[in-house]
Amino acid sequence: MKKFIQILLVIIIPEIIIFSLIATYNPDIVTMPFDNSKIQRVQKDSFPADHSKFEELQKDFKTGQEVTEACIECHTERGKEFMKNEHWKWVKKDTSITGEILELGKENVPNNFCIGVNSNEKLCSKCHAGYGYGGENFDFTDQNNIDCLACHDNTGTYKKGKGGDPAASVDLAMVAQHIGFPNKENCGSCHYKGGGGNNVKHGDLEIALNSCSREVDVHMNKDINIQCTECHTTHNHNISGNVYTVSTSNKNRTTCTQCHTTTPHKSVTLNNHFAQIACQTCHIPTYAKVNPTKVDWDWSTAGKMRDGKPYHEEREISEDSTWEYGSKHGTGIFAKNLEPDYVWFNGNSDIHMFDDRITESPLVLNKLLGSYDDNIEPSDPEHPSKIYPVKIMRGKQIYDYNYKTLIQPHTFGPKGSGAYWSDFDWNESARTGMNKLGKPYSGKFDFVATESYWLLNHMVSPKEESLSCENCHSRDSRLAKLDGFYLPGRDKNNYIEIGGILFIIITVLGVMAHSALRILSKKKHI
Amino acid sequence: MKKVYIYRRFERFWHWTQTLIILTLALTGFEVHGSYNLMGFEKAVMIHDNAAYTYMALLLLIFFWLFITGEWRMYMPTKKKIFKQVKYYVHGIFNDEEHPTHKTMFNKFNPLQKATYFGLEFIIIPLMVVSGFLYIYFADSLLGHNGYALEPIAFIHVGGAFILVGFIIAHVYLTTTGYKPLSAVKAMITGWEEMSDEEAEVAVRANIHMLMRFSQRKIMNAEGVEDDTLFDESLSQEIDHTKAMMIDFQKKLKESNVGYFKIDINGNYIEVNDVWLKLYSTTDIGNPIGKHMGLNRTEEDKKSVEKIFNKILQGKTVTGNLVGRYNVDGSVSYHTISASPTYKNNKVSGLEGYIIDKS
Repeated sequence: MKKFIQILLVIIIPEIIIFSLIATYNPDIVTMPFDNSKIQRVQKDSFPADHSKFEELQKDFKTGQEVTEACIECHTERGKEFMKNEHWKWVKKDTSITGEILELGKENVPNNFCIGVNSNEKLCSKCHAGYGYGGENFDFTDQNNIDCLACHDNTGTYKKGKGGDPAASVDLAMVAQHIGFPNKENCGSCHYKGGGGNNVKHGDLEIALNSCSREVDVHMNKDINIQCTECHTTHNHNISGNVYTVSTSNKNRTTCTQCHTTTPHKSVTLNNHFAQIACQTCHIPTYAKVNPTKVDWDWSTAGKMRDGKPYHEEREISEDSTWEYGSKHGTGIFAKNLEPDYVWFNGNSDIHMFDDRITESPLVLNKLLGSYDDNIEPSDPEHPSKIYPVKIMRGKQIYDYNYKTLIQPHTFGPKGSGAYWSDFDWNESARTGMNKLGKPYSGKFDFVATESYWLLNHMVSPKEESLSCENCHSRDSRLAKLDGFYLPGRDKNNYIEIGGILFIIITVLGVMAHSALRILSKKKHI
Repeated sequence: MKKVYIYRRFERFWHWTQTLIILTLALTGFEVHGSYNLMGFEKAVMIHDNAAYTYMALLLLIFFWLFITGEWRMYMPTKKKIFKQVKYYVHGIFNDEEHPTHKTMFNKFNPLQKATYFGLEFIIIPLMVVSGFLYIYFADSLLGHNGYALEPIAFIHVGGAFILVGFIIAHVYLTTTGYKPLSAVKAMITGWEEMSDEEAEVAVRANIHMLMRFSQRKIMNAEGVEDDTLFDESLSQEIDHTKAMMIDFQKKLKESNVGYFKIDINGNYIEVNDVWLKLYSTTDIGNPIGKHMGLNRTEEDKKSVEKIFNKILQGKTVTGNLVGRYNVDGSVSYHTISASPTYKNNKVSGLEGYIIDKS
């Protein structure tokens, strides 16, 4: 009994105490955690004026320009402000990583969706914040051409037609009398539909966000209902936020830390991840959660006819993805509930322009710059590169075989104009498109594989659904493709691994052989 | 078989705490390494870190203990008997040979264990602690974060972990090579190790020797010169005291009417006391010294005495056996005999015992 009590006191009780402490104590707690409930949303005053009472707006407006003229009568400086905005110019000044000043935008940068605006303005101008961009001679210096209503309509009835003018069905006077701050529907009327349809382009921006559940987006869901401009803060019509297919430098970005601080977690370890992991990486575990987004667009197969006519067909590949063929567009793949790809990104990108020569395949249209090495110098206070989630858009698009440059095809137009979607002749489409762009075309074309990288910032999931440690810290890590650094749980050295396992196997075999010999020899001696 | 106290309380405490912590570290460590998914990466990291810091505290206690008690000396590798030990494990152990080295409280390890535990406690574990510290620093600290440094540190840490797992397997197996398969484990729990009588004697002797050395150490006179006279005096006093005790014991024996005898390996009397002589005075044995114990007995008794004698020479003890003696007048008297073997140089050299008259 005494012996037992001694064993209890010397071994059993201490071990139980030590083990329970080791297994339960959690030191990884921030003493003063950030309180999410303290985030203040901008409390807007009620709208300062009831525009339906303004005499200037009691007119039978025939055109959009007439409305804008009325707006500018009172808001005298806003037009000048807006004329500097990329929603108007479709280019903005930016600096490349080498310091070169560039003018970049939809106007002059090729993409791997509809490829480019030039020669297709009639269709594309449905999303230009101006009237008449689709016409022959659009005047960028005429304030009256600004489309105020596209962004400020609060009735939900405003629509743009081809060429950028208001659709015939719109009651301009009624809309003008009910304007207000831009809401999700205003921004979404264009930004949800990039690439020619809902969610085609971004994957994380689509019409479902107008009224979605918390699971789809913690910010924009129907209960919280945060509007675009609450994050994309705007002063004097200068809107914050970039899309890195047409931006090259780390400035004017919209960030999570505008509200959430740089240490938003209750865990010190998680907060330490802030230095190298963008919030989006863990908090956007999947994108295209409601409707599919286009992930592959192969223009090279376009032009096949059935019974002499263009046709369209779709096939389901899996529960979440669809294959599609159209004579106009070629082959496409749509998918939803996608896991993002991940890249190091420091806020700068290298954009491939129409003038640039193609030197690689697949050609990356917007190289997101950054690497682990950006963080390696502890004396660098910026630690600029972080891991970001991206949608990678893949495709095949037309290029000039002799000049090794991308081609701007003329796609939208009437029969006989050379527009591909009417005439189905790539050569003619390339010739008229390049002519409009003002660049040479050699007469010989081919198709090149291209990729574009789309940073995912929206569709932030509830915290319960954000990534857990082992999504990255495991052998089948989501970050498998990122190299140049040691990631615990993901990385191993094969020599050490094989050597270590061999060492253990040899030990076990040795033990087994030795004990077998002992048992046999014991029998012999008895 | 005897049981000898080998492991003191703190040693048993630190051994089993170290066991618990190392197993916890291995289980969670290989999960953090990505080898399997058991409790989740986050929990594994938390427990691994907790266990690591606890282990550092324990290591401080262990090294403090080893330093204070001087027991770090038994970790110092030695070439002495190392080949004998290797030979034992690859050959002797299969032929029921005796362990070439003996375990005592002050020298617990054989030469192979010395080499292994030295490597473990003074090389591998410090390496793991240092690389683990650097790992935490380079992985968790914002200031120190450096993935290039993390890679070699992690590889060293993982390599060390594989070595430790191999050690644990071999270590657990080798616990079965003691006196009995579970002797070593029982000893680590209770402190008392089962061993053969011979080994126990070696252990006790080693303890006495160690304590004597401890007593002898560092005595100096007022001039600062080492001086063993005090030790020698004390030792001779102890010896005198022991002798006096033995004389006193014989006296007490006499008073108690117990006969004492001592017989050599051939069965001849070496020593008898007065009570013994008195009991046998009725026989015509005369002075028994140098004579055989079978003298002056019936054939039947001779056999019985031989039997007892052989039994004792095999290392056993007899108590209360009834033996007869022939008197001159032809009558027979009886006495009980209790005896046990005597040893010289670890070998049975004869026996000694006591007789009590029964007639």
